[in-house]
Amino acid sequence: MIDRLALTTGAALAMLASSPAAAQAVQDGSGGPDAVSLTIYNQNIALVEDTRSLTVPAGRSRREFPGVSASIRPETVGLSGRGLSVVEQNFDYDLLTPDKLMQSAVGQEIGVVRTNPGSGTQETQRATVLAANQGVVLSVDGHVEVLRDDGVPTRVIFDAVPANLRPRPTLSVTLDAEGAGQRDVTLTYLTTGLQWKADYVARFDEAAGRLDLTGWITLTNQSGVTFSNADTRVVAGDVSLINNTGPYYRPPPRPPVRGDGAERGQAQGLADVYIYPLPEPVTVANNQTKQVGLIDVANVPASKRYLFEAHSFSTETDPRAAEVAVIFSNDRASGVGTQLPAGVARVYVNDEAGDPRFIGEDQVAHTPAGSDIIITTGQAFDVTVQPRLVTSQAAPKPSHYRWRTRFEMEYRVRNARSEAVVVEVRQHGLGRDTQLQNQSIEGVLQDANTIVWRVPVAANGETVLTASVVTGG
Amino acid sequence: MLIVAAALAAIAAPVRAQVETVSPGAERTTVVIYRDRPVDTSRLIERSSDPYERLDREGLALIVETRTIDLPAGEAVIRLRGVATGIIPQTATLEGLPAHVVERNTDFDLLSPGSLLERSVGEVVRVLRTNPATGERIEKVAIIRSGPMGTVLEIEGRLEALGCSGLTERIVFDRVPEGLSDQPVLSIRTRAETAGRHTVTLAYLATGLQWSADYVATLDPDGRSLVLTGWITLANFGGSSFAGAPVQVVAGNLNRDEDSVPVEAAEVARAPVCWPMDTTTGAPPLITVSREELLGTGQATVIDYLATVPAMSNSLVEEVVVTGSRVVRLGELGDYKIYSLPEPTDVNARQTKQVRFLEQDDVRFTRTYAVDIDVADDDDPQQPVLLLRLRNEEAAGLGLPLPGGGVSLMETQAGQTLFAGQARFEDKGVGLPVELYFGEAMGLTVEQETLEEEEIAATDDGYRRMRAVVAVTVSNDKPGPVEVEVRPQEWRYRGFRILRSSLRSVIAEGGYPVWLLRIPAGASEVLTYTIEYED
Repeated sequence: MIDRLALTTGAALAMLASSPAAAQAVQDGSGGPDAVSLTIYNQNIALVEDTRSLTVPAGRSRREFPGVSASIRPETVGLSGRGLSVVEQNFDYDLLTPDKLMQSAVGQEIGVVRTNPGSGTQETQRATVLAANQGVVLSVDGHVEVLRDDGVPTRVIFDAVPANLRPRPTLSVTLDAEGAGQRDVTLTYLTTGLQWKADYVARFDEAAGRLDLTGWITLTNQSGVTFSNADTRVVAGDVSLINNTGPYYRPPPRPPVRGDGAERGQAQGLADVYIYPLPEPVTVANNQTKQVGLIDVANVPASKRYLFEAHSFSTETDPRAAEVAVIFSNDRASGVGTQLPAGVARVYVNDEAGDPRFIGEDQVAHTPAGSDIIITTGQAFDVTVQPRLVTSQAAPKPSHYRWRTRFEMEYRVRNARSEAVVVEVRQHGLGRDTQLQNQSIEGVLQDANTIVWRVPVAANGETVLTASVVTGG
Repeated sequence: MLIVAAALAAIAAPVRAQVETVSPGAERTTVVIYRDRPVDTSRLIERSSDPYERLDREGLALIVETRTIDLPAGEAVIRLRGVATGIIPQTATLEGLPAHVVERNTDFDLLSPGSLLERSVGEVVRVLRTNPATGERIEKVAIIRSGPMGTVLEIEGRLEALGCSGLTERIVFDRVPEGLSDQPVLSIRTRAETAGRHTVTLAYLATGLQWSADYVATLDPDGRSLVLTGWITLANFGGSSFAGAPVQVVAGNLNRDEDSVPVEAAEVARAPVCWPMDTTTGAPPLITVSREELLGTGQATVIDYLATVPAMSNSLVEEVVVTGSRVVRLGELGDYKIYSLPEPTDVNARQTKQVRFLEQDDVRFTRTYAVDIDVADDDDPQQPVLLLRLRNEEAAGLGLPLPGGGVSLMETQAGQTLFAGQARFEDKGVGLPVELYFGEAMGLTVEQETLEEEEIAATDDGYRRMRAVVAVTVSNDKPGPVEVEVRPQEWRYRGFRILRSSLRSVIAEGGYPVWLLRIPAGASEVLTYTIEYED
C-alpha cells in the first residue's frame, strides 16, 4: 500500500515534470471520438462516422485524430464541421522508434550518461549527433566519438520527440476555420478489418417436421482499434468495391435457394440492400468476435430431403451416399416472414438421449422473404445410389443434329434405415430435345439439363430405377 | 494537462466497471467428435510430428459443458473461462439462463511481451536499472511512448530508448492491460430481473479433435471366414484436456463450411530495435530491421519474419492409450451413426486413445484375384491383385454400419500369424458390398495377346468404331484353385459391346462386365473375347 502511494506520487511528479516535453504534440494514443457510429458490410469493409467536439482556433490549424482505425483507408476520409474547410490531410506512418529518434536528432544536442563498469560511477555529458548511419557519430567537447565504441554502458537522453514521430499511424488534418471556438467535427472514413455475417442455429425435429431457428449477427474486428459505445448498423447485400480487399479470391456462395422470394421483409431497405440497426450501442473491441441476436422463431415447418445427382451418363463402380438437406421456408406462413442475410446455418438434432447434437452446416446466401432455404447437412450413411449405364446407342436423328443417343440407365437406390425414404435422383448432362422412355418410375424434365425422379425405397430395402433417355444436340 | 487526464481516468475507472462474474470452468464436459471424410490414422500420427502442421485447427468436435453461473440482477458481464482452445466462437449456444443476452463476445488477445508493451503505450510503468559494478538498483517512473517495435520511454520529461544503453534494465508493469489473456475468453452481457445461481449448458464447436476407424481382419484357416475387429482412434491435437468426459463419435461425412474456423490469437511481435550501432572496434553489428519491413504493412506492430513458430510445434502426440475390452454402444443420429464410449474417459491434450467398437466372428468372404486388361497392352500386362469381398449383411456374419477406414489383413500359416497387407474402404451401410484390394498377388501370371485391333467405321461425331480380339492366359502356380476376374478396361468407352467370348461374361457388383476364370492348382486357362467400342 505504501509502495503504491509512493509510486502514485512519483508518477504525478513525473508527469508534472514531463509536461513541457509532452506538450509538443506527442500523441500518446489516448483520446478518441466522443461518439462513433459504424456501418459494417459483409465484405471486410466498414464506414466509420467519428464525431468529436473540438476547440478550433480561427484560421489555419493542424489537428490530430488519435483513435481512428489502424486499417483506415486514408483516401476515403471526409471531414465536416461548422465553418471548417480542410486544407490538407495526412496519414503519417512515421513511427516513434529509437532508430528514428536518433536520426531526427542529427545536428542536435543529446545527453549521454556513461556508467563506469569498474566503479559504477556515472558521468553525464552533452553531445551533438553528427550522423546516425551504421553507427552513431557524436561530437563531445569538441572531439568526435562513436557511440558505445568501447562497449561501456551508455544511456542516451533526448530532450524532446520530433513532432512527426508517433507511437501509432496517425491521421492529421490541417483545417481552416471561420472563427474560433468549440464545435462538433465529424470524420467519415472507410476501414478494412471489420466485417459481419449471420450465423444461424436450426434445431430440427424430424419426427414433428419442425425446426426452431435462431440467428445471430456476428461482427469481427481485426481493424487494430476498439470502437467504444458505437452506434452500429450492419448492411446485408454486396456493395461494389474496386479493389478486392481480401487476401485471396473467394467465389460467392452458391445460392441454395428456390421459390420466388417475392415477399417483403422487415429490415430497413436502402439502395437495394437491407440494413439492420443494432438495438443499442455496442463496444466492438479489437480482436473480438461479437454476436448480437437477429432472429428467434420456433416451430417453423421443415422437411428433410435425400438428393443424388448424376452429372453425366455413366457407371459408378461404388454406391455413392445421398446428400441430406433440411428445407424450410422464410415466408410469412412459416413464422419466419423476413429475409435472411447471408451466413452459415448449423443444424442440430436430438440424439437418442435427447441431447442436441450438431449434424452439419451450410452457407445461406442473402435470401429474400418467401424463399425456400435448403441446408445441406452431409451425406446419409444408410442411403446410397449407384447408377449404371446399361447401354448407349446411336438413335435416329434429324440431319442437323451432330449426335443423338439413347442412354439406358439403371439406378440402384439402397436404404438401410428402419423407415421408408424417398430419394430425389437427378440426372444432368442432357443435350437438346430430351425424351424419357420406359421409365420404371415417372420422372419429370425439371429444366433442359435436369431429369428428376422421386424414388421411394422401403425400410431396409432397395429400389432399382430404370429409364431410357434419348437426347442429342 | 496530463495530470487532469490521469485524474479523469482514475475517476472513470469505477464508473466503467460493470457487475462481472466469472465462471472458471465446466463441471462436466461431453465431447462429440465428427469427421467430414474418413481419416487415415497412420498418416494422422505422422503429420502430428510435423511442427508446421496445424492439426489443432483441423477436425471438429461438439463440446457440451455444464456450468454453474451466478447471475447478477440488472446488467452484468459473465465471463466463461476455460473453454477449449480451438473454439469456433460463432457456434456457441447457451441454454438455461433466465436472462436476456444482450450480446456475447469472444476475445483472444494473446498476452505476450509484445502485446504487453503495445497495450501499455501512454501508461505509467517503472523502470528498474541495476548498476553492474555496485549492484545498486534504481527505480524510475516512466511513461511508455512507443510500443513493441523499439520501445521509447519518457523518464523525468526526457526520452530514452529501452534496451539500447547496455545497462541491465527492465520494465515493471503494475497489471496486465485489460483484455490480454492466455486463452480465448467467451463472455456474455446479460440483463436479468433477479439474481440467482443457475446450471446452464454451453455448447460450441471446436477444432483439434479427430477420430478414425481401423479394422483388423484375421483370416480363418478355412479360407471362407474371418474375424473382424474394429477400433476407434480418438486424437486430441488441441491444447485443452477433457477429464472424465462422456465421449461420442459420429460416423458419416458431414458438410462443413470453410468459414467455421477457430479464433486465432492476435499475436504482437516484438523487435527490440535500437539506433544503428556499429563501432570502430570491430564488434559485430546488431541487425536492425529495415524501414520497409517496419512500415510496409501500415500495421507496424506486426512483421512476418518475427512470427513465432506455429503453436503446434510441441504437438507431437505424446501418449497413446488403448482401452481394451469394453465395446462402445452404437446409436443413430439423424442420418449418421453415433458411437458412445462405454464410460467417461479422459481426452487429454496431445493424446491418442483407442477403443474397440466392433468384434465379429465368422464373417464370410470370398477371395478373388482381379486383373485389368487393356487392348494392345500386350508387352506390359497388369498383375492380378488380391481382392476380398464381404457383404455387409447379417446372413454373411456382418450387418453393421462400417465407418470407412483402413483394414489390416492377418493370415495364419502353419500356426504363425502373418501380416498380408492393408486396404481401405469408405463408409459402408448395411446391405452394401465391401471390396478390399490388397495389392499384387504372387503365384499368378497373366499373358495377353491382342489378335486383332482395327477401325471398322467412323462415327458421325468424329470417333472411331474399333473392334478388338484379345486372348488372355492366366497360369496358377499357387497350391490351390483360384478364381480370377478378368476386366476389359474398354468398358468405360462409349458404345462398348462384347460380341463373342469363350466364356460367358457377368456384370460385377461395380456395374461393369467381367469374366470369371476358375483355375485349378498348377493349371492355365485361356480366355478369348471380341469387343467393340468407340475411341
